[in-house]
Amino acid sequence: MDRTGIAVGLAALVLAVWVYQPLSRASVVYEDDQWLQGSAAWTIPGRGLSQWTATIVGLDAGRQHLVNVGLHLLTGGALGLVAGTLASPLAGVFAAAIWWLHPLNVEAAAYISARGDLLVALCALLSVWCALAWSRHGAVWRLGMLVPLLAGAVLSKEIGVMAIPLTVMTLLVLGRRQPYTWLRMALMGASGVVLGLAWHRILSWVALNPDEGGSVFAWPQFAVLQLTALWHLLALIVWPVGLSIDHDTIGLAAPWTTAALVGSAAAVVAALVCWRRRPIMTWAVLWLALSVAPRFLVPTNEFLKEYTLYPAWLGLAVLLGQATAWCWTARPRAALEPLGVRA
Amino acid sequence: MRRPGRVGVGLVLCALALLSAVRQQTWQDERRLWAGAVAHSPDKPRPWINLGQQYARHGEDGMADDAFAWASVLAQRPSRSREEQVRAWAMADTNRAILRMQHGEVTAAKALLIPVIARTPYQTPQRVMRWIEQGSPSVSPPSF
Repeated sequence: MDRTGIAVGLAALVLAVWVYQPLSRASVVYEDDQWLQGSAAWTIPGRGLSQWTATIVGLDAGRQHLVNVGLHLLTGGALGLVAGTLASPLAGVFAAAIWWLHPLNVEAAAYISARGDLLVALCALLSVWCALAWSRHGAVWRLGMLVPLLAGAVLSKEIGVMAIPLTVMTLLVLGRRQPYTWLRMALMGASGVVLGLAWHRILSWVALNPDEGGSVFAWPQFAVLQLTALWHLLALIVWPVGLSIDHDTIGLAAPWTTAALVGSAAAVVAALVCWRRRPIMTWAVLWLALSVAPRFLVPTNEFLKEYTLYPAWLGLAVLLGQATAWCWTARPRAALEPLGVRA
Repeated sequence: MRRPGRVGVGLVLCALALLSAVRQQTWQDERRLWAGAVAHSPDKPRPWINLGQQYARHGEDGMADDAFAWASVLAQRPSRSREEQVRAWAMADTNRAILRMQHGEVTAAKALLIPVIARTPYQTPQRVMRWIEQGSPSVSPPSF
C-alpha cells in the first residue's frame, strides 16, 4: 500500500472524528432515556453487555454518545482488518473510510439505544478476523480469542447469536487451512448450545401475538414487506438521501416490492455464480442474508431500520472498499496505450 | 491527470462526510429528527405523534394538537396496518386528551378517551382517564 493510501485512511479517520465530535454535547433522543435507566439482565442471547456498558458509563448523555462513537470507529477499524485480509490492504483502508463516513451509519452511532448493534458488529468482525487469520497463518491464541468475542456478540443483542454462523460461513467460503472440521464442529456445537439455552425464548418470539409486539401480517406478507424494507435501506447505501428515524415500509410503492424481489433473486444468482471465481462476492451476500435472517423468521411489529442494518451491511462495505481501491489505482489512459493513446 | 479515479474517490468520501455531518446535526435536535421523519413518511402516524410530542414539550400546544389530530386521521386509513389503526389511533387521541386536560377542558378530554378505552386494551388511556378524574395536571404526552 502506498503512502497516499495510508494518508487517505488517516484523513478519513480525522474526518469521522470531526463528523461525530459534536455528539459529545448532545442529549438523549427518543427511547434513549428509557434504555439508560434499564438494568443489565444476563440472558443468552440477550443485551446484558450493552446494558452493562450503559450502566458503568452513567447517565451523562455526552459520555454515552462518545462510547457509541468510539465503538463505531473501532468497528470501522475492524472492518478494515477483515477487508485487508480478504481483499487487499488498500481495500481495507477504503472499507474502513466508507464505514466511518457513510451517513447510513449515523443512526447507529448517534442513537445510544443502538449500542447493541454496534457491539454485535464489532464482536462479529473481530471473530471473523481471528478465525480467518488463524486459517491463514495459524497461532492458537487467535482461536482462543473467538470464545470471548462470540460471547460478547451473543450477550450484546439477541441478533448477536448470528456471529457464530457468520464465522463458520466465512471459514467455509474464504478460509484457507483445510480441513479444519473440528473448528467448524466446535462452532456449530456452540450454536447448538446457544440455541438450546434460548429455545423457549426463541419459540416465544416466533409465536408473539400482535399485542406483545408480534406482527399483524401473515408470515409471507410480513417476509415480503421485510424484504422491501431491506432493499429500501440498501438503496440508501448507494444514494444516501431520504434517511429517517422511521421509514414507512407499509406505505412504500409497489415498484419497491418488485425491485426487492428481483434484487434478491439477482443476489442469489450472483452468490452462486461467484462461489468459485469471486468468493468474496458470495461471502458478502451470505453475510447480509445470515445477518438479517432472524428478522425474517421472527415476525415483529417493526421492520428493519437504519441502525438494525448496521451489522448486516458490513459484507457489502468490504465489496465497496475493494471497488474503491480499484478506482484509486486504475489508470484508464494506460489501458488505452495499445490503441496509441499515450499514458 | 494519470489517475482521475483518485479525485472521484476523494470527492465521494468528502460528500459522505458532509452528509454524515448534516445527519448527525439532525440527531442532536429531536424535533428536527421527527420533522424529517414526517417529511420522509408523511402518511405514517408514528412520526406525526412523536413530532406532536416534541411540539408539546416546547409549549407549542396548537401545533402539537394538529399533529396528533392528523396522526389520528392517518391511523384510521385502510392502507395502514391493523396495529397502527388501533395503537397509533389510541396514542394520538390519548395525547390530544392530555393536551385538553392541561388546558382544563375536562369534558373534551374525556370525550376523546372514552372511545379509545372502549376499543383498545392499552393501559395508558385508562391511566390518563384516572388522572383526569383525580384532577392531576402534571402529565405530558408520551412518545410512541
